[in-house]
Amino acid sequence: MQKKNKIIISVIVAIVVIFGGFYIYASHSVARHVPGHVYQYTSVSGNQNAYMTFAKSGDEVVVTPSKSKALKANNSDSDFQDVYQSNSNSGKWNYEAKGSRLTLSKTQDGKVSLWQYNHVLSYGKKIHSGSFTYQIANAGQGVDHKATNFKQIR
Amino acid sequence: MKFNYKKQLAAAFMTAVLAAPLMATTVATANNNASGSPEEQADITNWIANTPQQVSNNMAMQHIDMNNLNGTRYIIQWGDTLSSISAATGISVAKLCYDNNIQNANLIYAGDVLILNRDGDVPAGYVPNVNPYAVAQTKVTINNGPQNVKITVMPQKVVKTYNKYVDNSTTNNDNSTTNNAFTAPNDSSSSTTEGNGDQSDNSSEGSSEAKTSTKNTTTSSHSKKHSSSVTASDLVSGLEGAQDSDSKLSFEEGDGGDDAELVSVDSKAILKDAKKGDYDAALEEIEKGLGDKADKDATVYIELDDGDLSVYVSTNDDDSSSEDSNKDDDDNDSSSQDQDQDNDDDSNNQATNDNQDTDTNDDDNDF
Repeated sequence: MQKKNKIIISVIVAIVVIFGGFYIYASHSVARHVPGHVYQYTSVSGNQNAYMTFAKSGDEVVVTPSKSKALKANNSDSDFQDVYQSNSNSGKWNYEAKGSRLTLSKTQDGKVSLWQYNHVLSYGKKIHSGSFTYQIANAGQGVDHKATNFKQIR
Repeated sequence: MKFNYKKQLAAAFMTAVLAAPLMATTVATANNNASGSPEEQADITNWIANTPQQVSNNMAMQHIDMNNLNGTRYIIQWGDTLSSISAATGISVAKLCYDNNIQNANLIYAGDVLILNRDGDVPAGYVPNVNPYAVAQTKVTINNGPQNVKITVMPQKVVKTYNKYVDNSTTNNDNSTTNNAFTAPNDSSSSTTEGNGDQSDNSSEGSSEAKTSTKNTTTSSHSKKHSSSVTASDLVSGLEGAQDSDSKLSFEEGDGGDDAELVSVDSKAILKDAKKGDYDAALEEIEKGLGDKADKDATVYIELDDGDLSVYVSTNDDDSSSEDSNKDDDDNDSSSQDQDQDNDDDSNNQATNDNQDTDTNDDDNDF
């Protein structure tokens, strides 16, 4: 009986360690995952997509509704700069990934809007965010407790 | 009969309770044409410029015949820009602006109606002062949860621009300090008439007014939150904001010259309160030091030298002003005018810029 208890406790501890380790890894690896990749973002409503190409180095990111543009930006550094600059008329996008947070910023006409994705879990080709905090220029600020997803497409 | 009446009353009450949320939603939808819940409105996809193809799709959804754009009404969607609408319809940005009286504004609003008209020309020399790449904005402030949030992880490159934008969007209205950086322009909601073709003119005036007001800047609540040090200018505006409307005290920077006398105050406590943004407590400390003079018509001078705070006071000896209420009103008016002038004063603006630099450094450390 005692042996059985020990086995059960060992199994529980092993499960907790595995899942805990996975959670710690997944919640702190977004900064390693995103550079140099293209992600498809699915909106809160689930019916809109955006494509994000993160620069291989630096904090620039191409954010566009056009998949082809996003993929083109990922071809080479010069292509990235071409697309980034051509899109800069409608705002310059930057990002910062730290710990379990991923923040995207848009700067246009000296106004900055920010979307900070919180409780980010990054595993395989998927990034899952539990909520996001936003500060949108001349529009509003707050916290949305809605999950959003990013899927790596390249 | 009595039983039936009660039953009917209960049924009517229950129907009202059940229908109330539906009615409220209908009213809200009518007031705000920008569709979606706050969660959906704040979604990043709404703030990415639509491609012309997306605009065309949106127009198709609204059953707009692209071959017959003659005064056609199009409801502006999230992510639309004048540039993308122009590319989708073949109507120039200038023509769109002219037909819809969009002037002196960078904004179009999701939910507003845009008149699409291929016919007619734009008068020679008509050059609209707009940014055609600006994404459609909202007239209603999007808020979910807390009124003020803090972004803890921010790209280093935008920190300075962010701080500058937030600081420049702060206005001092009478006794309160408000920040319009993340608030929809207030004037636009009341000045817009949907679908009459000149709504954008009104809303553009509203937004330009909002922009003008942001230029009268002194200090920001944001800078107070993040700053580890407080300047004399911060203190003056904070204290002015904290005092009651009937208070006769006025605050200025400096030592007040020979006429002013030093006030014994707990400077550490005042600075501590100011750093926390608690100017009510700071004002209380100063009034404690002023004693009877706190009720008199006096000017309090704030001097901050290398972190050492000195408070001076200079009372206005004109007794008639305290006895004559009309005279008091005049004094108050003139002091408020002085404040307005201070706001426009270049030197004060320069001080604000200095504050911004300090705050930026502080925030750099935070991030």
